Amino acid sequence: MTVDATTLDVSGICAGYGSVPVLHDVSIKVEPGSVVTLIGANGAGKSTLLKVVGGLIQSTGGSVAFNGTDCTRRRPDQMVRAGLGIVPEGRRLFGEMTLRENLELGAYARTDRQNIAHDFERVLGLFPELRDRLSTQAKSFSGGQQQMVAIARALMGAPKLLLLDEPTIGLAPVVVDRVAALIREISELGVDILLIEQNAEVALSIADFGYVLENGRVVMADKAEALLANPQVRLAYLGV
Amino acid sequence: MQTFIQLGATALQIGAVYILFSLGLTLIFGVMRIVNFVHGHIFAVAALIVAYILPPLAAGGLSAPVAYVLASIAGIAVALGLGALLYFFGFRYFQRDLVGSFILSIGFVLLLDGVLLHLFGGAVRGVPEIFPGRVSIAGAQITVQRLFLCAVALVMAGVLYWALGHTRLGKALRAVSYDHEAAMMVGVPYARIAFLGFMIASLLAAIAGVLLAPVTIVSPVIGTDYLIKGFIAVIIGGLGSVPGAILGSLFVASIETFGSYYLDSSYATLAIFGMVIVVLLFWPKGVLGRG
Ligand SMILES: Nc1ncnc2c1ncn2[C@@H]1O[C@H](COP(=O)(O)OP(=O)(O)O)[C@@H](O)[C@H]1O
Ligand SMILES: [Mg+2]
Repeated sequence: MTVDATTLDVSGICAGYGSVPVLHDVSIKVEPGSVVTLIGANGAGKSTLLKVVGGLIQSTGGSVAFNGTDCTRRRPDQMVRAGLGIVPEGRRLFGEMTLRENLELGAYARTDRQNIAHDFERVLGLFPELRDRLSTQAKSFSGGQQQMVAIARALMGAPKLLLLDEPTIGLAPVVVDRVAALIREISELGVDILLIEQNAEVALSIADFGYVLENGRVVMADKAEALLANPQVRLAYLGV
Repeated sequence: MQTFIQLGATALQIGAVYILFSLGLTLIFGVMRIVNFVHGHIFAVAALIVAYILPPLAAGGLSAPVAYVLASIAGIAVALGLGALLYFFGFRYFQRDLVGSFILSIGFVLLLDGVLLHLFGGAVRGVPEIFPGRVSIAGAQITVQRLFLCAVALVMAGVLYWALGHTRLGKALRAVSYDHEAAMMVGVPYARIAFLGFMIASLLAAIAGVLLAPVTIVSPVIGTDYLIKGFIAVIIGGLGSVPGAILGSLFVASIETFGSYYLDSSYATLAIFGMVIVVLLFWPKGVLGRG
């Protein structure tokens, strides 16, 4: 692993479900220290790409390199152990388990167990509102809080790269701002970010670089501010 | 009152075995989303091994408890080996496939029925008494053997319940049962956890088998009745729910015991199936099952 290896290098990925292809020759990169966003309409194939990177479905072509190591056929637990954190679409908390248990499970794959207690405190430092509710069942939190728990759970794995799949969907505008600020904060802590979003405005405002996915193909790739200013993007994704 | 206590004690003894069965079924369903109809054969193999090697061990001069412990270890080991084979050559490929795993289970049931009959013969075997004597608890008479069975079964259920709540493996098992994809996304190795869940369930069945061997008549088909009752218990309690399995088991055992005494055993069986229908009408996922 070289010092400045690209954190995530997805190259020419083709994938689908059964015989139905969804992704066609998709290539994206996340460089160290950056926040990258992948925007696209519902059904474009964003979550499918996350599942390929996470090892949850197998690609039919192309490769995934993580921290300079080829990870194309890795299992999800191997990816997590290698430093991938996932905040899945719809949060997917363990609803009947307590907040504490959810966070403990977030650290399940870690080999450096002696650091878990320290990171537990650090993560709770990011989410002070959760501290008093460690014994609460995850399903009884509000939508916004559940999103925080999902992020906190992924951070407990001490990821090098955090994948977030539509973390702002269905949240009130103030909570969306809170999530956006958090993502920047996590990035400043040294975690690289791949943010999947339909909310292009928020995503592009916090990202350094962006990709636009349409019908399973990357149709645009540019600096986030350039995409934000791009008339086509504005028309299709910002409604202006 | 005396009769009532005696019946309650009997229900608890039968229920304890159902608990070991239904906990296994519910655990396997939780982690793999399959119903394992060959679970009863794992139990039967453990009981048969004990019945088969205990008499020669005892005849060889070993004291009864020592011979029993050795026979039990052998029985559990063989049953676990069988469980591992069933997993690796079968269930592994049919996870989360109710229909496929059902057909596979039935195939294994037929196969093992034949194999066990061939190896052990159809004749029933009696196992010599290990812990002789009987005790009286609150006026109810219980043989020491049955008391031992009951205690071990309840302790096992308690240990499992505690471990699911407090150990790393237990939390992984619960996470996989709740949402296996989410568990994978936090780094829980799904395949390993599914295998361990299957083997823990097989261990519970094997323990039930060696516990029951000395107090009942052992034959290759011994597992079937317990499988059916254990299955009814988890349907009533809710597939995948541990408290549901325990309560369902005690409930089925109570109906069976009290029903056979006050009515008649065929009515008791009818009552159990009637209860299943009523429960499923009002709680399609079982009383404590998830919606
Ligand atoms: N589990 C699945 N099985 C079959 N098709 C699926 C599955 N998940 C998603 N798809 C299909 O793949 C396409 C892309 O879905 P997805 O990656 O979820 O899009 P996005 O996350 O961009 O909304 C859609 O047409 C969707 O219907
Ligand atoms: Mg999606």
